Amino acid sequence: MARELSDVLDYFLPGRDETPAIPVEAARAQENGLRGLLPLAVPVTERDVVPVAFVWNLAIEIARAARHAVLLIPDDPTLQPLRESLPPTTRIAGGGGPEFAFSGADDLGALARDARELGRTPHGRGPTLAPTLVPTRWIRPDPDGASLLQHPVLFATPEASSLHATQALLERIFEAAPHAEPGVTIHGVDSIQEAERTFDRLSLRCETSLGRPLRSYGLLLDDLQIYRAAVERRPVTAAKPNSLASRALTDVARLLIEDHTDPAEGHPVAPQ
Amino acid sequence: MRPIVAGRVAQLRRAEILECLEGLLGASPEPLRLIVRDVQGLGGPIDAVACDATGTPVLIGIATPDGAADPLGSLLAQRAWLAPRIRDWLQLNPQLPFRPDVRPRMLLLAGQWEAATLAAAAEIGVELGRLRALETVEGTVVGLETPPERASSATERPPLERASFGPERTPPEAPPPEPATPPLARPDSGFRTGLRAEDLDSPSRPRSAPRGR
Repeated sequence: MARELSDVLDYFLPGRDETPAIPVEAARAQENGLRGLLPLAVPVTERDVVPVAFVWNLAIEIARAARHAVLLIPDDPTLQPLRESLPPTTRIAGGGGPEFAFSGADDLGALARDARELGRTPHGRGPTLAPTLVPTRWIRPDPDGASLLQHPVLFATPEASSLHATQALLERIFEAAPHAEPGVTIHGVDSIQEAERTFDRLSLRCETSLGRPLRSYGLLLDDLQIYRAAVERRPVTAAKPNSLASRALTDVARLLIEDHTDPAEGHPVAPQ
Repeated sequence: MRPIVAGRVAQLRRAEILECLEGLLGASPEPLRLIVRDVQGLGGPIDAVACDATGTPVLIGIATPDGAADPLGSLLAQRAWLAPRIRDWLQLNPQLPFRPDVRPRMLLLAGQWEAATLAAAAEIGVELGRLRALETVEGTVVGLETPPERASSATERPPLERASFGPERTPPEAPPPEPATPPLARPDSGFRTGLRAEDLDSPSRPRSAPRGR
């Protein structure tokens, strides 16, 4: 039987019995003005178990960095178990966790509208970065949905199949959002040089074939540690705080925050 | 050759067998590559997962007095748990030698077998390996033997297993050919990371997944 993402998504998120550390309504009660929301679209298929583990850990890292984070999850059948089983917040050591926002959208445009609506809901804990799971089959030209794909984040390995899939995904993203500024995080490598070569291959293809630059969001290491930590429902930075996996994850979160927030204001950079 | 002064089946504990499992599997008539040992499975630990020369995962159970009460049943349950996760593992580490869509084999290791165990194992397609512990002047030496019942067909799969479990083995899909690629390195690389190369070169760093074990 084929293994579906929905079979394992619940591993990546806290159980019902966990006590929310920061209830959503309480956090919203601290509002002091409209802060905005910047979606970071992460295209996923039902088999993308590893990227979902990455996204969950990254959302927590963004939150740990004192940034408000929302993990936006659409109403796709493959994600349904997630919607039904999750509490709205998760608990992390030393601070609040990211919120989970469940959208009833069933296509890209509707999800983008929900993201905009979410951005109008003010939060009192600083700027909001919103890693957003986007089913890849939703990625198609849609005037309402283009804004959601402005800052997509992709995960790629040095494998030829992964490079092909990433390239194809980039083509679809640019068809749907011609002004997108995609970024790639490399994983499944044994050295920084290998990660750099992999990124350079993708970047040069993107520039030569699609005429657009590709942003680097670093590399993630030791996928198995991240996956295991997710299965245990503990972020890898808590389960293995001194590991390279944790340091790499923190570094990727830093790049995401630095690229998408205004250092002077501390606010997300508005989508163009 | 080390002088063997006495030989007997010792009451080895699970931890002791796990400790020397990599060497045992590598030296068996049909060498197996140990991928991971003592990993959490369905409701308890899986003793080990290895890979054979064809890329087929091999789920390994160890029957010891301190192990599972029903090792055959436990092995079946763990295979049901493991089989759909092989693809996940391959996503986590594409360099793992497993072939996707191949039903894992089951191998049960023990010091001795009862006739009922032999019959049950043959019926459900579990392969057996016999552990031998020999006392030598240098200490205890552990060996792995194929039980006499299967010695003539160590590499054959029980017909029942083929009929009962999963699809026929098929060659893995070849990855699509990579298109013409740009130069490997660029002087103006936009790659960014706060990590240092020496961080990754540390011999103590765990790999993405156990390899070459």
